[in-house]
Amino acid sequence: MHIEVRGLNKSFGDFNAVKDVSFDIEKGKLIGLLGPSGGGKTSILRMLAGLETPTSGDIVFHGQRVNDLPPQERGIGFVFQNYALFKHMTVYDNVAFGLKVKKLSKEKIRERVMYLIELTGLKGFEHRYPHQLSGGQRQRVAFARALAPEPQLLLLDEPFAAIDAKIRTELRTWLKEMIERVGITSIFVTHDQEEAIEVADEIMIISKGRLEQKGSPWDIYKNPETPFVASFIGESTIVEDISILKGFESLSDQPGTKALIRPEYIEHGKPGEIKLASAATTATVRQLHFRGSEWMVELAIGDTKLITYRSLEREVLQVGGQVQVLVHRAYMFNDDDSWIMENPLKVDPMPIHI
Amino acid sequence: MRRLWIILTYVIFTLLLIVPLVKIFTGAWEEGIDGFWDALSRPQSIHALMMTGIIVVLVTIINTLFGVMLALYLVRAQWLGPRLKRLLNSIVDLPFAVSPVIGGLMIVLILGPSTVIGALFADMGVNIVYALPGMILATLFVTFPIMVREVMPVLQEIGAQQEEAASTLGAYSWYTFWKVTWPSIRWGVIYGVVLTVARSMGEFGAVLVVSGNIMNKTQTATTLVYQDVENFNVVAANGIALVLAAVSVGLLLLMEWSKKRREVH
Repeated sequence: MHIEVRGLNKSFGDFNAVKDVSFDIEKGKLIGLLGPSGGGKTSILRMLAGLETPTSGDIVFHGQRVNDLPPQERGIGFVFQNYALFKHMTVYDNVAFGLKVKKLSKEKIRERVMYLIELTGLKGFEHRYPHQLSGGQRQRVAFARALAPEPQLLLLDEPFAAIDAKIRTELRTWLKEMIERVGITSIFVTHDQEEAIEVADEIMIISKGRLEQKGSPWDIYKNPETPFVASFIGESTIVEDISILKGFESLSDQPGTKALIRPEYIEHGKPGEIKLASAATTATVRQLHFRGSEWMVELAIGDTKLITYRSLEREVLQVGGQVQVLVHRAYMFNDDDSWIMENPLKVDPMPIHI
Repeated sequence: MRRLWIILTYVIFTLLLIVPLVKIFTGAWEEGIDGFWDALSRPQSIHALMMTGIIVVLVTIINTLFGVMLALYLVRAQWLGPRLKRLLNSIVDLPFAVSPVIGGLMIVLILGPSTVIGALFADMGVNIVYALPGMILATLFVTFPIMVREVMPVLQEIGAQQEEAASTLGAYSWYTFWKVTWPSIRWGVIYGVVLTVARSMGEFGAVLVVSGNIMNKTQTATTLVYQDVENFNVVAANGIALVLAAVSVGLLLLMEWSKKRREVH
């Protein structure tokens, strides 16, 4: 189902939970709504479902404005954060609920329910009650129940939040596969960037009720459009005065401009290890943290702190030792503007032609 | 010292609860089965027990219906502001706080024969005060909070999500209520019904004020006991009291059972 949202607003009293959000979703896409808790993601999802009424704005499914349609008539499936399974019904009855409402024949209901139970790997659990299931199984039931009436759009509110970290990854992959197999347009809400990057075709970053950026995970990582997105996705350190770094001296005449540097933008090594020595700055190793598969290195250049990682294969650094640092690029921002700046010294000043 | 306290507790428990029960029982049988039977088969006894029965049935039906509905609206309705909800929520408890006699008095003051509304109804041939409708109203007033207070916490605990899930699956409110909400609240409702029956059966003050206690007309079992005691007809009073006590004990057992079921679900 093609979804269009235009100028969506929602306020609860004085609090504006959603502010002027507009977007389009193509049919068949799996979209992740990502942002910090309390940013308005769930409100957007609930408005799409019809569980909440927008203060203003339009929601259009398939070219038809659905603002005034109740949830019963929107053709959506909703998976709640805590699954909201009917606790006095068996797995079978839970999945069959939406079909019984439609007054389908007993055989048809049985056929569809058994198909979904098999699809979600719940065979043999049909007669269990929700309290007799594990978290992962409950989520599967919620998923099967939402899919049973063949909705056009599947909405999932923090689908993995209530599950052990260990099974979560497994369930993520499962859900992605399942959604691809069914071919249903889906939107899920999460506050976990790793989850969004791994599962979604496209991510929408929501913060303080605004849509900050929409795009593929790679796009968002590569070209963050706002300082919030840049700092929210991936790891980063904010540097107040970047002009102390070689290559970025020109920025000293722009007070108020800050730089955001990701660990992977920083190359470091013992003196001599970095080829473009002219673009490297000397830094002191402040601290070393062992992170299981690599070292996290805290570097200091004057008062400025930088964070980067060092492979375990390379020679171990000493705290207090000197290293050379080359910053490949930085994400610059001030009150009016933001841009990505490549280190200009990276281009070899005297290329040698043979 | 500790033993003394334990003994004292049991003595008080016995004096307050066991002794009166035994006394009612023996008092009713003081003149043998005939005395008990005569007390019960007096026309005013039969009439009073019937009045109590009618009041209990009607009050329980009305209270269950509107109590459950009010609980639903107080917990779920989004069109009520939170402040208004809180206000309504505290007003619901009013009958618990106000003396039943005052409740009865309010009904007399609003609907009595000398008031505008009372006169209006009297012209239509319906007497409210000093007649059955007033007694039902008075009992309703006294028992109204019971059902609301039993159902509201259950509704709050189960939350709205199951109902929302039902709505996204295409179910409308009536279907959702019976298939999703009702199975969760039914033991609470049954518990409320038992309490309402017990309370409306035993109501005295409000009914006495509203009914005028006219023998064979507006007399209930409790007001008859009161009158028998006033007339030193202790055996008859004990007989009726025994019937009321026996029903109460039965209700108590039912209550224990429903409480247990409620905890299971």
